[in-house]
Amino acid sequence: MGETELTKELDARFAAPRERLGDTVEIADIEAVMTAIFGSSPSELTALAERERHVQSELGQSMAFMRTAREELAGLEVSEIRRTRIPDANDELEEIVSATETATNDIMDAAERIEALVAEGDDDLPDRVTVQITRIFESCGFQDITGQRIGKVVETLRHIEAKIAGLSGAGDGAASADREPPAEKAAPSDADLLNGPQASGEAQSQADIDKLFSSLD
Amino acid sequence: MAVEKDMNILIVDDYKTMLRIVTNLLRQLGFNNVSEALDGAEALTKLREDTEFGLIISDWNMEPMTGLQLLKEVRADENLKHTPFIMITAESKTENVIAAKEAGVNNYIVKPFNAETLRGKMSAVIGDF
Repeated sequence: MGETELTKELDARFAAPRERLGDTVEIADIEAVMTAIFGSSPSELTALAERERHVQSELGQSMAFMRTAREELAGLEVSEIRRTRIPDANDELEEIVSATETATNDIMDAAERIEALVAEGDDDLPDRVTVQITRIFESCGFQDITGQRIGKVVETLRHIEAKIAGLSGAGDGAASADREPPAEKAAPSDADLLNGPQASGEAQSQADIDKLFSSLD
Repeated sequence: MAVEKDMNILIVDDYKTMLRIVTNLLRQLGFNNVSEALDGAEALTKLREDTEFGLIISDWNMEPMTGLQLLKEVRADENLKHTPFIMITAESKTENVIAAKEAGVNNYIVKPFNAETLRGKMSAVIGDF
């Protein structure tokens, strides 16, 4: 609407109240004048303004939610979980299956050997049985190793659980507070040396350890 | 000098199964005076009591006090610093071996291990038996 048209429009809106009330308006008549000019009462205008503020607030909250959700999605580190944590967990589980199978077979071999020794009834039976019992003790060490491997898998599941919980809480403010900070490359500490058993393809043998240990003298 | 098999040995591991295995292996090797602790802090308490231990055999990965922390505490203690210390652990990375060596460990056994390895490392540390 141009300036001339606006002026004409306002003149037309003011004409009726001016004709009825003159150039001076009593305070008590202001609402009626405003209604006549603008088609809405001050209370209606207040309500309109309130609704507008409400809409603005809703839009602000929606934007904040989307911002938080975007941050949470970035924090999920999906590629890191898929690239490293899941394959590592799979490897650990395979190692556990393998270790328990080996230990079980070793224990059964020793038991069968003891059974045979008893049947043979040799003079050196006690010593030969002791050798087999030692094998059983050695084999039972699998429980320690598999326990540590299971601990690493559980840690991976907890990591994924925390990430998903953070995403589900996006928008209520809790997610941001609970979110883990991005991993920073810090100087090696005692904690950095706690990695548990390595995969069998990567772990150093006792011979490797002995060689390294001697080289440090 | 022959090793006295009645010496006191302290084994430290948070897995009770492993404590039992090592205790049994030591018994088969002729060592019957074996005490057990479930982490470094409990071990340190036992070490500072009246009993004199001739050897400490410790796991690494334990809470609240790790085997490495225990080793450092032992080496820093005027009354304990000469106690032979063998680490038995699943931690087989080079940096672990280096860290243990720098902290003063006498030998290092990687899990899983067998009785012969334990005997060999014990002999290297405390003498033949």
